[in-house]
Amino acid sequence: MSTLRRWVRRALLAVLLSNPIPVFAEIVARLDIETGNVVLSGLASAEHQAVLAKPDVLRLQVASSMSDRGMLVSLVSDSGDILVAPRFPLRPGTDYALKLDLPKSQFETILTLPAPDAEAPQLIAFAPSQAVLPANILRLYLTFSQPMDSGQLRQSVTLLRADGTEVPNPFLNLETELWDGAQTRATLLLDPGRIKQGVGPNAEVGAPLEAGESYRLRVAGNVRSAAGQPLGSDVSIALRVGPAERRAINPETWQILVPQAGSQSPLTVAFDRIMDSGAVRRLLTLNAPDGTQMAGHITTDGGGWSFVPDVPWQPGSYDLKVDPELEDVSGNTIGAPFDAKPGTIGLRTDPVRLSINITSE
Amino acid sequence: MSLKKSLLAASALALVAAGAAQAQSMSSAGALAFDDTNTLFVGDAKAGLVHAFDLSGALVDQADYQLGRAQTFEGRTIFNHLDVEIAALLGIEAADVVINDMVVHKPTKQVLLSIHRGHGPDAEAVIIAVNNGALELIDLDAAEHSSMSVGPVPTSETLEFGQPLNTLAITDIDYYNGELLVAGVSNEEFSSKLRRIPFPFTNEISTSSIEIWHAVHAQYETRAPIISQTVAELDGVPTLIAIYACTPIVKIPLTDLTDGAEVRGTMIGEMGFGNTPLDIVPYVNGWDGTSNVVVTNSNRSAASLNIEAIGAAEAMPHGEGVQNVFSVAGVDQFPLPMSGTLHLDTLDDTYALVVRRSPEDVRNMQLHTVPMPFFFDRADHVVEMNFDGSPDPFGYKAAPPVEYN
Repeated sequence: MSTLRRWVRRALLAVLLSNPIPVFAEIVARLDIETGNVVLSGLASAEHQAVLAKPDVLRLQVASSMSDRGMLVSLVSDSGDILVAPRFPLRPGTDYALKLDLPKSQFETILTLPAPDAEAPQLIAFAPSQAVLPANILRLYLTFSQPMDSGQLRQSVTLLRADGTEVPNPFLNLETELWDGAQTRATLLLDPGRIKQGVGPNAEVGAPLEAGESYRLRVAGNVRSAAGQPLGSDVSIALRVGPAERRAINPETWQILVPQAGSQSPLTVAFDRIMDSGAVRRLLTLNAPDGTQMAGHITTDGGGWSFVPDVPWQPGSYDLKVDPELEDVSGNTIGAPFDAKPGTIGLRTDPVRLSINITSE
Repeated sequence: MSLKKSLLAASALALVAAGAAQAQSMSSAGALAFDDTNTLFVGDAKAGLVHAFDLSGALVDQADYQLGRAQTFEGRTIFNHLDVEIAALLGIEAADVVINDMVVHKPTKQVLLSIHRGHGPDAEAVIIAVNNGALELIDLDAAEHSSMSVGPVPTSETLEFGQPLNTLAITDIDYYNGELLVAGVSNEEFSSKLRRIPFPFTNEISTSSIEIWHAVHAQYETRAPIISQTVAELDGVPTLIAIYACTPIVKIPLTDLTDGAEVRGTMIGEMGFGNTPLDIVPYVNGWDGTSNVVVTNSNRSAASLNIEAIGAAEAMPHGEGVQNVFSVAGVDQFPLPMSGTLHLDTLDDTYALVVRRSPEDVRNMQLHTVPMPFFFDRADHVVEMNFDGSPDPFGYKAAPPVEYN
């Protein structure tokens, strides 16, 4: 035997020793990206039957799982292959282990659906956007550029004083977070117990915000989008806080800029305070002289409301309807202030209607 | 053979307890409740619906499943790492499992959990059953289904972005005498309303504003969302006992809750601040026959309140000159040695069931039974009777170890 052949033989032996030959050397498992199924090929006929007869010899699970349990799958015989159909779709980017444990042999492989490229989310809006907020503000809104994961706000959003110290527990600790359906806008509810006058939390630890002070609302950079991408770096929003607003809403005090008939100029309402921008978009409606609700485009930042009709204004008397559920950012309504005198809440539950006359002059 | 046909064939193999897609009928699965028979109610905040599923064919009697040994104050851990096990069943990582609520079907003692598969807006909503110690997916498509709208009505014609932004987070659902009581928190209004819905659904819904209560101190009355509620008969009068976000406990006779009513509830206690109540569950104390409710809290141990005491309670003092009451106050509250509780329900007169963080290791989420009426599991506590060589007057240690089926 030549030296070369001996050397080659040794090398082969070394390779064999370090890589034991699996009995099912021909078994291949691949992910069918179209269907989301795993296609298991190359099983001998007896093995094929054995798997179908005793499905728990096959296990598909997240590779890092600490459990012995496989995920729910259906097994289907398909022209010599076995289709492993997961009950729930595999998560893109997550490694799954497919394990086959037959009496004489084992097979294991890692399968991963490619994760689509996802951009980092951004915090694109904060409401109210006014320069100065009332000290007894109840709600803040954060809007992101993409759908976000829920369940991370409690750890990730902090309120800091001007000196950098943290305001302890400023937000209501609800079990569920308040997101819109698309999970791009989150509502932060400040703890009402600390805002209401005369209740324990308010008197003991005080309101979370004090008039005349400046704060920063910090959203941590590790806040993830639903696609798993983090914000990247902390985002801070500067807040200046003014006096508390403790009066009921009085629509009679609103300043209304009336457009001319024939034009499509906006009808603009300037409030005497900051309204809840989410609520005001829904709860202020404009009715045409014939009583039907006007269709058009609403813009509001909570400080004002403007409405551009889809068709030019006709002369006549329009009704601006204020739903009794409308709140300002401090929870005051047209029925009563947030902290009301006993016996006064709920006395006014009908909508308020403001009559607006549009003429061609 | 086409894939569809193959899958149908596969179902005959009964490989797994997999049903058809559950998510088709539910957008989300939150608060759970049962009626007096086999109907499961599921709060679906995303769709603004309450679903009713008739699970008559799906519920399995759990009478043979041993729950613990109450005589020696021993509960049973049905699952360690419940989140890890549910994640494995659903094929996701444990951090992506959200357990929203738990309910026990009292006639069979079968436990159901409402689960989200992930944290994103597209997370699948499923109901998982614990069947004699095994986790199973409930096939809701096999159940007779009806639903009722409770969410806000979007005014799509005036929406700038084309989709409604306001939602109602359903915080609790209770069934009482042919009716559902649904409480929730809106993300745009602080006026949480209580909805009363007859079941079977008739498209009828009555809404009362009962978020009004008198602040502990002095001059104000105010509003707040209900976090948890139950209905109990106080001196024969069906009464809603509700706990609010800033922790007052309020009672309101059900007869006051008519459509459009603005009701002033009687504030009878406060759970203390810096704390959020999680669940309020009625139970009967098997030792003295009294009726009670147990309240679990985010930042305090649980507490028990006696129903008769609630019935007899006068409104907490309010008005000029009344001193502040900041901590737990009003009706007597008996502290219970339960903490780290995430979800609570009762299984029968002897055992409660909790999803909890293990007292030994908070990373371990357990499904665990707790002997009533003290909600006390001896193994959880450093008590002398557990020490080696300590006296054993009641024979707790002398009892042989429980062998579970």
